[in-house]
Amino acid sequence: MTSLTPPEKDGNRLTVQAADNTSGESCRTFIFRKENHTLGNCLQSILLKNPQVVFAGYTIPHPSEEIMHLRIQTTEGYPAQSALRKAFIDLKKEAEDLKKKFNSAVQEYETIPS
Amino acid sequence: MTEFSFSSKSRLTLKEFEIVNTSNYEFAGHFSKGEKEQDKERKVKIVKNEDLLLEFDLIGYEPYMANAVRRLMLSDVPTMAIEKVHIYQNTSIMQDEVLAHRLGLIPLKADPRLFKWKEGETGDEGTEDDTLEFSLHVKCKKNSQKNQSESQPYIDSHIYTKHMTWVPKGKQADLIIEPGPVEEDILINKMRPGHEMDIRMFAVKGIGRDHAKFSPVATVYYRLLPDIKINKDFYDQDAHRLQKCFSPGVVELEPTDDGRKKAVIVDARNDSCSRNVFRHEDLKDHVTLEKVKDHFIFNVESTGAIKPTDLVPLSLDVLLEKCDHFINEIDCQNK
Repeated sequence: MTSLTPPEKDGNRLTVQAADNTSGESCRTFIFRKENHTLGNCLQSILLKNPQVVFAGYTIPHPSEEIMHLRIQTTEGYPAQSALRKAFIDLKKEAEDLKKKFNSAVQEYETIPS
Repeated sequence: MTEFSFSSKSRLTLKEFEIVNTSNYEFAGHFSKGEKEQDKERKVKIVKNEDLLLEFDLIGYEPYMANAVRRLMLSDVPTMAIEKVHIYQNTSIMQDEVLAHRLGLIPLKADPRLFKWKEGETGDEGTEDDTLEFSLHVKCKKNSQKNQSESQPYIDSHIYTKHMTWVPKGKQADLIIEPGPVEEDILINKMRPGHEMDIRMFAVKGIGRDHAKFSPVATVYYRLLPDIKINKDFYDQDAHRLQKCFSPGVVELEPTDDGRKKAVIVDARNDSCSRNVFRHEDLKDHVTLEKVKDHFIFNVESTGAIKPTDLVPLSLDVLLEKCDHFINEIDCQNK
């Protein structure tokens, strides 16, 4: 089965930029290539639900470039990267859940006698 | 942690000069509900499922999810569309580039999941795995049949998508069932006797973000469920005026015991929220126009390539693929 997203030829789509040396693991800005509000808003909202996240926000520096910056600041001892990974896992769970609910709703609709 | 009363905060209110309570109170440290509680309240309900049109409700979900599904359907679900056009002969009035542009916009009935993405090196013609070839060869002639020449003076003067023929490559004839334009009667060009078109077209897989011709939906939009409350009883003339303020079917006049007619909200869902009530000084203070913040009414209209009931799961598959890709990159970077 071929992938739904176009193949990536230019290397990594996610790079990490640390703020400064004093903040350690808990402050990071993640730079996503070829991503926009679709993923950014989702990740931001899910990160804010995480009680160990102190700050989460995304921005698109310029609309002509498909680049998204996601800034995460967490509580002491919790790496920002783990927060991001957890957010992706939670997003996956939500999307799978929605897919399941949608498919069963379609089944339900088809079995109702019109 | 302060507790918010969700009954009042779950509604967005439309007032005369402002819209109140629009934000979702998203900031770090604010927890809305537990996970299990949220899951129980989340529902998906199909309201209408026709051939190309789907109307469904997302209840209990947050705006980021609804918007992600909408944006993914518009720009990230792949389809096939004509990308390269080889024009061998075009003596019609329409310029080559305008004609090529129009050909690209024709929606094609081909399942994009059966094709690979086209890599740049294979040239225009492509391979059997990633390209669909079509041919359009028409010549306009004068109608020589004497009895028809009054009503139909020309043969093939209007070129429709039904004149396009599929040219199978390699093993495509066994694997793919009759790909072609979704509609047979899309007008491509108009010609007169002597004009001829001889064109070869190559369709590839692409996404809406690259070019709108690759978007699988005519459009997809969502709106919030309206909630209208009348705080005072209105009868007869006033009730009739109130009924006219809203879309048809929202307010009905019910007969009361003493012979008068009372205005009653029957179904606020149909209302298009025109806020017409605020034009009437005597009615506006007794009506509350609200919207339910977590009830999204989606409307998906497909162009015909993929059924709308397949499009929504496909868009979620795209989202899952993106998540998998980035989880993979994070894990690789950590090694």
